Amino acid sequence: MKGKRIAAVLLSAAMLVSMAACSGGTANTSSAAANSQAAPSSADNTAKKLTIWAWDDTFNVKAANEAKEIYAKSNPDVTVNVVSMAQNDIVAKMNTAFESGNMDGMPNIVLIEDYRIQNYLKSYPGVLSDLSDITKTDKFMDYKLKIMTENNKVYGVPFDSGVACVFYRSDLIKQAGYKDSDMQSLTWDKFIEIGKAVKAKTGKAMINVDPNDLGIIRMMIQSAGKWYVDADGKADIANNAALKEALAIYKKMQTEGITVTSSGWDAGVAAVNDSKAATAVMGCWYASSIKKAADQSGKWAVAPFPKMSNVSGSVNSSNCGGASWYVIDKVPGKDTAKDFLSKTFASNTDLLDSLCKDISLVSTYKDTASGKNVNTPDAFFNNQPIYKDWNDWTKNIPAVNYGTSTYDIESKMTEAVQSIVKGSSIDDTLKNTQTEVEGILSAAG
Amino acid sequence: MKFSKRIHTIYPGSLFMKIAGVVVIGVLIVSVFTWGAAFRLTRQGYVETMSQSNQQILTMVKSKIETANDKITDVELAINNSGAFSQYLKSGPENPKLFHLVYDMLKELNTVKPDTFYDIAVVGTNGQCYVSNQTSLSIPAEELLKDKITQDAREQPNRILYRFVKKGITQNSKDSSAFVAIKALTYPGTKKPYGFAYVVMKQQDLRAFFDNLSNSTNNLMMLDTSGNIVSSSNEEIIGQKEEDLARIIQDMNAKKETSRYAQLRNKPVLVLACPVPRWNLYAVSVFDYARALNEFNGSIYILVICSIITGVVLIVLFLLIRQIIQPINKLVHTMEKVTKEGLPDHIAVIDNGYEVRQLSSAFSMMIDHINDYVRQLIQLEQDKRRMEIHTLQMQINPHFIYNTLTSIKWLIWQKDSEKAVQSIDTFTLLLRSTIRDSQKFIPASEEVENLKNYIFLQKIRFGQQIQTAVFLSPAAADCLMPKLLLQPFLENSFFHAFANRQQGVISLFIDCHGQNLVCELIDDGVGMMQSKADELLAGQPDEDCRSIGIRNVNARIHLLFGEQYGVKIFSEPGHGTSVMTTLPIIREGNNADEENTNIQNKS
Repeated sequence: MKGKRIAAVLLSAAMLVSMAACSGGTANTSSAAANSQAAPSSADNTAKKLTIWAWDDTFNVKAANEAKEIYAKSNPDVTVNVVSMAQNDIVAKMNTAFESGNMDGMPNIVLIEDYRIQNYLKSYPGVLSDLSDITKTDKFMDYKLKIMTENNKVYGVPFDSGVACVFYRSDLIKQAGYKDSDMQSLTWDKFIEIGKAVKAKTGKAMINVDPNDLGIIRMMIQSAGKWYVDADGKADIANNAALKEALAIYKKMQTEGITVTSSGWDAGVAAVNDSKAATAVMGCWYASSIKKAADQSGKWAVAPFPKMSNVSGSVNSSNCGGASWYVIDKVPGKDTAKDFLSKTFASNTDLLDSLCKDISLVSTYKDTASGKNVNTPDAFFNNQPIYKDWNDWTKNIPAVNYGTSTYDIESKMTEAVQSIVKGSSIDDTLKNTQTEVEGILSAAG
Repeated sequence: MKFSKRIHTIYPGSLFMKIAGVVVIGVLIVSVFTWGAAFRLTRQGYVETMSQSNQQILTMVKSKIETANDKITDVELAINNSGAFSQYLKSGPENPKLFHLVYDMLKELNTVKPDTFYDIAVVGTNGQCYVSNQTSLSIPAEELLKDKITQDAREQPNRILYRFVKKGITQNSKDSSAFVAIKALTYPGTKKPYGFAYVVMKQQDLRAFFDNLSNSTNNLMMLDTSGNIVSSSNEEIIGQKEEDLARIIQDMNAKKETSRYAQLRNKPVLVLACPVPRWNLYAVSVFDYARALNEFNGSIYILVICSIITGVVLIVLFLLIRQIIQPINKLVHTMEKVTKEGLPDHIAVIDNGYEVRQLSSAFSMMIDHINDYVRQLIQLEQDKRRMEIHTLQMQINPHFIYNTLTSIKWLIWQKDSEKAVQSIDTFTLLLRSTIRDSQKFIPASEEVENLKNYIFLQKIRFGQQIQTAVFLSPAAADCLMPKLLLQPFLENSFFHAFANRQQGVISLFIDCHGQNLVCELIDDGVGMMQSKADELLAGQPDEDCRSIGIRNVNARIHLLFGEQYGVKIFSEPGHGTSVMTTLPIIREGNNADEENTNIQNKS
């Protein structure tokens, strides 16, 4: 009997203790709950929510949003979240995530610039999903596929073509005494010749250059099937004939006084919009910037990229920029992400055709050539069927290996260009640069 | 069920109910207070923890902002100290060195590694400009130079000013309010600026410093000194003027408080403020702790736990108390049974707990004592009765003996010696039958023999004038009856009924009537008043010697068999008397003595 009474006392004491204990324990449990909520279930490859990162609200973000609408029709249960971010931020976040192997906060689908993709494929194998089953190699242009192919596996879905071209002011060229036909099948020699005439007759520069952006050099060397690196990814600077010729042409344009210098991207656009330059040699995506000057409608035309007459293999076709869609493998929901891409950018000609109209997209998807919008003439460009032209020219773009470190090499090249323009010997400068670039590439692994 | 069988122990006012009531109320009070205390402590702790964590968040936000500010300062100074920038801003577009200048500008700017989340715009007084991040100014350079923020910077050329604008000044930021750090670019020693450097941060980018640290109850915001909400995780309130909040913060700042409980928009909130000095801002956390506590389900958790524990404890206590009360209940039942059913022979001691054992053994002992006492009383009573009967019987004998001896004396006086001898023989028989005490009960037939002997003796005295007739029904022949029971009546009839007459008839009938043995003695003598007859049975013993025998008989019957049996006398003067004696039918099969005892026990 006594024992029972003691038990009762102990029990009530235990009750009080547990009451006190539960007050202290709640904070822990609630934070534990929060943690478990944040942890995604990595086992499932499907997801009800997809996140896409892209960087240009008027271009690729808009494209992703249109794709999202189309996908919503067939998959209403999947929420697609398109996030617009600065490209630098996207790159920084990808680098951090891929280096650490922690994919928290990363999107399912990310747009990566073609110049950068080799770096990710080579440095972080397995981080991006193999998309060979949704990207049909016979449907896309080879030069685009090549940069995203590693060990015969295709890791991306090509988005835009950066087919290079000469946007030119038809009116200024005519004032300088040349015709539209003179702008076809250009060589750089001819380009400089016309430029000199334009400068003389109109006082305007032929071309705008930004000392910090060597896009034009890149386009030149790609037109000859060359790059800063060779097919194996080794530095190809000092003995790169195409590069030497490109630099010579670049310097010649400066010394001939047919350039206008701009600082930064927007200053360049402003130079073109303010009629300070008669041409813009750029990727096709520059059309939207040119169109900003609505008062110049009808004065513009588009011509193929000039080739380098002194370099064998240089063609009237090149590329500048361009990006593709990739799926991050470790982010939960990769199957849904692949399904999204396969139903949109990897196959949907209707989407690609309407994007042609909405964002002036030049796709590298071969079937879009027959699209209605692709074959529609553009009034701004004097009713030239520019999309069809770009499509045609895209077919001839020489495929090159962009390697892993385009932008790092370019910063060295920018420096080299400075000294070359100042008067240093091209050969000597490039020998130094070759060494520096080899250093970069060996550092990059 | 065991439980329901026992549940009847719960009467209102029972010990169980009282103890259980006290315990239940006690446990409930303890539970409620414990819960209340735990609830209060938890809530307090929660608010304090949240307050601390919010404080840390603010400190973190502040340090993030300071880091960013350091970088912004670096950027502004790098631009100010850049030869390339100063040349670029002062030269026209035709400068032949432009190609190299632009390269050098960026090179020099990049030495401080500017962040990309803000736009850097540099505008020369001549309209030359540079904008980073591939964007451009959203308003023409000339307008920007005339803008209020630029004018402010012009007046304070050696300082970096921080201003908020409703619309950002770059294409990237034009759709939202923005935070701008402006510096007038001057040569050392001069005050006339050649350009202005703007670092433009969108409101969203400012918000990014604390956005992911905010939640529904902790509203983080940046407040300028006049109370305008510059940035907030809650987009709707950006741009609103919170004068109350600004007043609170300024007061807190003056008193060097870091946190304060206050009413804001009629809601109790915890305000934490942390000044961001160079930006003239306050990083403010408005913690809606009432709402947070509502969302915080810890109190429910505590309540549930407390309720479960209280419930379990109550059930356990209920069972324990019942267990403890059980022996007392058992004792109560035993006692109840005693009051309802009379004393049992013995009560087992309930050996369950000290008190109950003591009570129970005392009660048991008491019952035993009472039983002993009662047994003694019964014994005493029986002895007393036996003595009484004995006395009664003794009363008969002397009377009879006296009469008989008188008769025999009368015979001897008549010299009828033969008859006298016969009388003495009969008398001897009668005496023997009387004295033979071992058998108090005799069959009716034997009694009739005794009576006949008696009649013989009486006839000696009274002669043949008095006729007697005895009728014994065969059914009644073996019925037992106390011996010499009817003798006094017979005696009375002989002596009194025919006092003035020479002739008469005395008839005796013994028969069974239902459950009773009825003996009726009828004479046709003088009779008496009925009241006189009643007096014979009820009167005092020594009042009339005639009545002694009758009363003795009646008393004997009452003693032996109970009040329902006895003697009745019916009489009328001149018509005779009838004496009816009613007895129970007792046959030889039953032990007369045993029957006797049983009857006595029942009384």
